[in-house]
Amino acid sequence: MDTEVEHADILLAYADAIYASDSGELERTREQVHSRMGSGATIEAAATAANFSMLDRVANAVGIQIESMAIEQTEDFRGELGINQYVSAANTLGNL
Amino acid sequence: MSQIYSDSSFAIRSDLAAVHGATMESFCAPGTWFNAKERREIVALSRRARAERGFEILGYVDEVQNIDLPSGALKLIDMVSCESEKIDKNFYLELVSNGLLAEQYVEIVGLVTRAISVDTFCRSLGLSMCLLADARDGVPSRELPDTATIDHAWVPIIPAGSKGGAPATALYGETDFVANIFSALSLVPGEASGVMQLGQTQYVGMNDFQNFKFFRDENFSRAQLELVAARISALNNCFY
Repeated sequence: MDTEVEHADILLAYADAIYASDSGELERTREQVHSRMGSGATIEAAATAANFSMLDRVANAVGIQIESMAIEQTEDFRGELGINQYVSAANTLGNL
Repeated sequence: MSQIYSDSSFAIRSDLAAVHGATMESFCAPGTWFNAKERREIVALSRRARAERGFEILGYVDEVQNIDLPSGALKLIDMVSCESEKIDKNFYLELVSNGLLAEQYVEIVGLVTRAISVDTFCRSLGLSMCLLADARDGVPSRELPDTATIDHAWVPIIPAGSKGGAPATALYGETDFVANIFSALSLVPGEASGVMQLGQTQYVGMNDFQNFKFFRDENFSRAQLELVAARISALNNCFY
């Protein structure tokens, strides 16, 4: 996927490795981010992953709906990306 | 705990270290519906569940002390820790109908998710997990916000603005809008506040939410931040 975001390849690989459980791959991808983007960026990427590891679970666990203004804005790509198939989609789509 | 991460090879922002230190301290302090021993146990059980399911925690130490918890608590801790994407409304209703208070449900979700946040940060940077302190004395406050109501979640939440009254002002400040994710745990204001503090320090502050040029490090743009956020959310099957 072309995201048009600089260093997207290594950031996505780092995020994938944070989610997975292969410490060798995590170390390798962290080193890539560190060497190409620097220490500060590595910390911010880790903080972002930490934040959404929390918020995603909060959202999934208490069944919150997305804000009404975001429903239309995201309609075009939700279906394309398969997001409407998530169990948690019912919390929003089931209330429309 | 203010010296958290002081031995890291990464120069971690002081505000980030401070909020993680405060988060770790909160796990061992009396809460709203659980005492400190119970809260500490909930975090330790979440870590054990993740470790046993193959979710790596660097330097893992089993800190479980076999403290009694309410019926359903173990199942909830396990699901939020390892399979939150499978939780649905029936799961919540079943636990509550079997005796777990909605307030206890919310407090457990807050504790587990905040622990996962700190643990994920540590692992991401190759740091060992932060150990839990001893549980402090004291009793749960049992503070119940009188304006909490069912709105945009299975659990009651405090609405923003005048509908939320004094509890809303105390938690959100003087505002008529708060993102649903930040009101999600408002039935237990202490947990909602903890999540908001982590969110604003790890992600973007409320005042910069619509600032698409926001950055904390010049080599990590808002677009790069959102890319990582979106990937993690997709991996967690999170529609929100």
